[in-house]
Amino acid sequence: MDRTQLKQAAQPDAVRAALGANSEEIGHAADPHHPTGDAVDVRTAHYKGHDIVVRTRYEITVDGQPFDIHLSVANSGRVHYHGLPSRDFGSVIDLVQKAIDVFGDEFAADGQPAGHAGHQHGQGGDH
Amino acid sequence: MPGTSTARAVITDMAAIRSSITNNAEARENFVRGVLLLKDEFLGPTTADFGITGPAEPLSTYDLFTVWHHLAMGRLTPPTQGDRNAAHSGPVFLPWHRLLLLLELQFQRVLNDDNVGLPYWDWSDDGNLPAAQQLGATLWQATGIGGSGESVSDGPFRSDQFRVRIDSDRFGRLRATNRGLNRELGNDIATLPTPADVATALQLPEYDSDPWDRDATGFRNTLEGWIGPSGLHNRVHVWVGGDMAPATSPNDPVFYLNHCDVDRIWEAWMLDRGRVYVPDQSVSGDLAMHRLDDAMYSILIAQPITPRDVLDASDFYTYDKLP
Ligand SMILES: [Cu+2]
Repeated sequence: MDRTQLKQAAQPDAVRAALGANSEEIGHAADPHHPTGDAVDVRTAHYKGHDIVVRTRYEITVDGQPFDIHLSVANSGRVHYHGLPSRDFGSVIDLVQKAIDVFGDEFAADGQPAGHAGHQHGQGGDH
Repeated sequence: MPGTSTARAVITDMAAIRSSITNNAEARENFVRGVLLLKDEFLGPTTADFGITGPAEPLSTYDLFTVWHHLAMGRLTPPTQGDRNAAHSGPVFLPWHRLLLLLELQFQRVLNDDNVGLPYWDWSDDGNLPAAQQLGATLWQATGIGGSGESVSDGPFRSDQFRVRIDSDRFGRLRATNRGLNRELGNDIATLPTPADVATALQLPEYDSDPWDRDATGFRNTLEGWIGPSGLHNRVHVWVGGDMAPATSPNDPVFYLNHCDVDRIWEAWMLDRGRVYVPDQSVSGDLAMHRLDDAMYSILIAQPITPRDVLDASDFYTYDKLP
């Protein structure tokens, strides 16, 4: 890593140029973070010459509204989701309760199906 | 004249020294000024460039680093799994955050001083105190970086001086906002990690291991906090709470103080074990963006930088003290 080069990269013009070169990538920053389609988690393990595959799909609702998040399950069984990235949980109920603690306003304001809140004022069409 | 230019050359070529924010008033002062200047610098990008709906709002240089972190977190590596991403839950966790901490070069630019180093917060020092005293530690005073609040109301990052412009919603999507900083110190978990927790992690001989994710054994996963009793880095995010909880956690300047300390612990480990990193390119392409010679995920620096490139950062900075 060359210090002179990286000091150059920290100049405003260089930052603008880097963003410009990544315009396609950064244009999707507000997209949902799980892959499109079914949010299925796949666990694999090899045991005594056998291949184990566990596919998990959760369906979560809060107040009858779908809470459509992608849960990842570690081989330990602990669950994790992108909305609260620096923690994992022993149970999905615990995870959803913590999401309600942290994002309480969003759940309270949820007069419409979850996953579409906040999109009503936009111009749409960005997905 | 030759004397003058030599002296100048010596000064500009010196690596910055990173010191403790609670023990070094000048380092704290530079950090605060640097953050506020970068929060106030608008190079042109707006929320619209990031696909955020609603009116286009300008984003500051500081905010661009927050977006970079958020985007890295959303880049699943590989996309067929939901655990490891381009910056977390995998081997690249430590080198990638070392790259993000090149925010230090932005500090040096806006403060016009090549010797300014990012300070660290040795949270394990506070972790030794009784829980109630951890909340009242020096860092959280108005003379530090302010305390708790749904909208922090004291210290240099209080809401009339420091606005959060983008954050992550409950689905992990980036959105525009305009509000004060949110902190809930000690609310979710009562105590910080201790020096004994750090010492235990430093004893681990192996950097990382297969399956290279949240399940892996080794130093990286212990320091990141997915395994082991103390939770180290993750626990600090959870203890601070508020804006330190979602993927936009660099919104709270304490993010950088935490990660500078994480980087310092990694540096101590490398000093003991050598500047070694695994995996190299011999493992599967599923580990792309995590291998020794893979370019790390970046939107703000155009040139490719690999984990190998950052293993020795001594041209850039050194720490005044290692754990
Ligand atoms: Cu991070």
